Amino acid sequence: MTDQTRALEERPPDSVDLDLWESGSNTPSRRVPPQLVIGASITALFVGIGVLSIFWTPYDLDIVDVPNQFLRPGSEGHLLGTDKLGRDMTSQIMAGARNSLLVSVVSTVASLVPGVLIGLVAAGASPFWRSIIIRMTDIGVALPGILVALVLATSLGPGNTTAIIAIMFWFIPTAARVTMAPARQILSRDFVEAARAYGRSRKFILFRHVLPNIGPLIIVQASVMFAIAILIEAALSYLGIGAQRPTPSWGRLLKEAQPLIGQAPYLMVIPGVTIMLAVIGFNLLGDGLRTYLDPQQSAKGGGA
Amino acid sequence: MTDLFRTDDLSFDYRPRASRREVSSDWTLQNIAVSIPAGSTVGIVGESGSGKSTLVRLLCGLLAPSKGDIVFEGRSIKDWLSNGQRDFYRRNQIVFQSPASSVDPRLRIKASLSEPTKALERRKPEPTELKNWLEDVGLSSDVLSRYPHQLSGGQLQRIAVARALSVRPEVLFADEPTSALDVSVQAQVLNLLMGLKHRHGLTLVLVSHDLAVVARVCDRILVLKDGQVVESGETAAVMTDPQTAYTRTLIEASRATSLVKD
Amino acid sequence: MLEINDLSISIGPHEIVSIEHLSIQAGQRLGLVGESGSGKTMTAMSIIGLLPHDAVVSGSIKISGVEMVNRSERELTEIRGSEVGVIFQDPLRALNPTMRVGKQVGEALRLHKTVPKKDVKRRTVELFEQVQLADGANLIRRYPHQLSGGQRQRVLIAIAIAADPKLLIADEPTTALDVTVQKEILELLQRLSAERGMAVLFVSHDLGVIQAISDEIAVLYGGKLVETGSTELVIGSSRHRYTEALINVNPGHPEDISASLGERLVTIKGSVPAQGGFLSGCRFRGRCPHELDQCAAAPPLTSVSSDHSFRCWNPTELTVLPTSEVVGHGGSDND
Repeated sequence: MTDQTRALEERPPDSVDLDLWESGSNTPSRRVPPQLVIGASITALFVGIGVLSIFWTPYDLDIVDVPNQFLRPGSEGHLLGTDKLGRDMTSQIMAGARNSLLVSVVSTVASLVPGVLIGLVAAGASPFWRSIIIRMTDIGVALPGILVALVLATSLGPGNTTAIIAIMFWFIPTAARVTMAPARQILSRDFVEAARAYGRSRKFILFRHVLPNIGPLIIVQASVMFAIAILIEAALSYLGIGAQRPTPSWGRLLKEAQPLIGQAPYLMVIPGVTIMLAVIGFNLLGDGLRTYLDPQQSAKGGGA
Repeated sequence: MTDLFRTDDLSFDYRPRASRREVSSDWTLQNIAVSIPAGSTVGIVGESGSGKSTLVRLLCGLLAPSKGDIVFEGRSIKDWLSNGQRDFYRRNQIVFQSPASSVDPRLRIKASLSEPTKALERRKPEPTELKNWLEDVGLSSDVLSRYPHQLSGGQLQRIAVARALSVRPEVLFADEPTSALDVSVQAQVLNLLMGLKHRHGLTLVLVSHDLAVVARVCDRILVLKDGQVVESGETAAVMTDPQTAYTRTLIEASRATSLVKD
Repeated sequence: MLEINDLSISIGPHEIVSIEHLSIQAGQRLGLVGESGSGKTMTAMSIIGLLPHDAVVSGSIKISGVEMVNRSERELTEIRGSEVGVIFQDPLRALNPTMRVGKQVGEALRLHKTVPKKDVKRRTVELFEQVQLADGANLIRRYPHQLSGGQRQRVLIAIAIAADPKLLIADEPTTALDVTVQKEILELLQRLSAERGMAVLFVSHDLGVIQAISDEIAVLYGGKLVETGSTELVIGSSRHRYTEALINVNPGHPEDISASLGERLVTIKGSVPAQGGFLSGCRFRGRCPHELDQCAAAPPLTSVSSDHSFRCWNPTELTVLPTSEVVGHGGSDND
């Protein structure tokens, strides 16, 4: 117990000494890491585009304009070109953003709530129950997501809902696992024992002491999950079990572009690059948040 | 002097379902029979694996005995914890070894300091109370708005003491309260504990691996080894005339690594 | 064999360590004592170049006459282990948890002493014997977590001395150990030092442990040396006020337990300031009970004898021994 607490706690030496020295706040202002800035910008860009697409796109999505098919990007009136039926790529990409965001936000949030809950409960449970929960999450994480999605698609039919449920199947156990380890670490700290020593219930400790302390970690995890959800949604749509026409989807654009790759490679490159950018953006956001929220950042003292 | 605490053949093991097994020599604590007189300062010493931290956690109600019983003011601890839990905790508080780990890093000091009152007395402490508690441990109210990472180990340890004493306990347990601190800060904290003990009439139970500290602060000493009480009694008697070989070895080693000031 | 001159280590705008002169003779044991923030670990680590990336080092550190400061990483790696061995506070962290301990020692042997493969096992067991690890043949197959704290530290020592270094740097090696094990490890280090003629730089905040193992002591405060000299002189007749305070603050075993029970312990006012919070002149200013106006200027070096020097404007007065009536014999200089 003592060794563990010692190892966990390497405090910097005296920082602010209020008794004697009249120093003001000794904490340096936290530097915002570049990843955070870039990640947040890209994410904000996509969110902005997605939201905008609800109200306006350059062209109506349903408009078929065959005479103007296969226009290259940069053509007049069509910034990103048109596809085989003359539909405007810019509009489709914008609307696709809306769809991807919808699926990723819903699946992430809907998974985090039960996932974190399970993780917290498992962290505070007896070793017996904890090992049972861990085994179950093992199974959940091991299930190949795509197969699950395919099975679901046969019974529920293709579409966003199927994609969301399939993603949740994998996200919930992942969230539980990711929550459990840091939660257990916090539970081993002395202030949790102190809280018990003044009669706080286990529930109180889990939700009022542990959860706020792993909050930053969960936020970081959420941004990573957004990125993964976007990818999975794209993959499922590519396979044909995601959103169907007329619902827009980047993955489906990829699929439709595949047979035409020789003729109009840009039809594949554009959605591909878009997906990549969105995923990078969310990943950078998560990475930046993790660096920014790391408490060690703000309290780096000198060595002895 | 009445005994505040008495243990009856107390045994404990961390492994599950210990109450259904036989006590054996690899249990964390085996057949402990000790008593803590009211108003005394008791030092519990032992090396790693002796069970001293576990014993203290059993006494202050953080762990439940696997076998045997603990009697506090004439009542079994099982009785206290099933009806009267708040009262028991109010009267027995504990301070831990790692000052930084003792407070929730996400809370300001004011919130951490108010926790026991909110939990055990179901009310928010008045600003004057907070100020008094801090003054009692030699800190000013300036720390209230700070976060733990902005304070030093010595300050955090004082806050932990203030927090523990905020509900006016009768017994204060301290598990290696100065081991993580520099020697000069250790002296400050130990003086603080001794002063508070006198001022509030506390019974102090101090766990330490440092025999020199125990010799100066505690009037009674308990020596633990591998989960058993090897020797106990008045500090002066045990230290000058140890009855067991283990205690002798411990004292000798402690003297060999302690400062000899001519 | 170790000579440090005008060493300055800075991180950012702060000068963390500033040592004019420090030396260790071959086979000598020097205890570097200081509290947190004194710069003792940084000083020790600077000898082998194990400092944070943003640390700026200037001055001279010579091992057997060879300059160490600002050496390339490759040159340093060769010197670490072969000329200088290091042991740290937490053996659990310093050892590879996934490698058997025998293999880790064997690695050190092969790396620095280029011991031929067939001899490695035998030499490893020999080394284990030298560090008093009984049943070496069996122990070499264990993993670190299967050993006790004392055993792990002995393994670390074995790795450190595998290549017969001339200097062993020990950074708080006994702090995390039980007191009975501490005593054994200290005795082991003393024995190894004597047998091998190996110098030891022992870094610790624990004056009792330093007293037990060191021939010479150097006291650090705020990155500066305040007093150096033989152990008996520095502790028995300390001059710098911080040394005096450090000794007073240390509980030590009381002579008369009943009499001293419950007595208030001596403390040092205030606490160590954060980097950049030190006042000009003597760094102990603001906490020293014997401060003078003069202390605003850096105190000069006073050498009591060839084996005892300090920097203090208002040092502790030497008590005149009642039996001695000798006058002017390196006696008190209380100016």
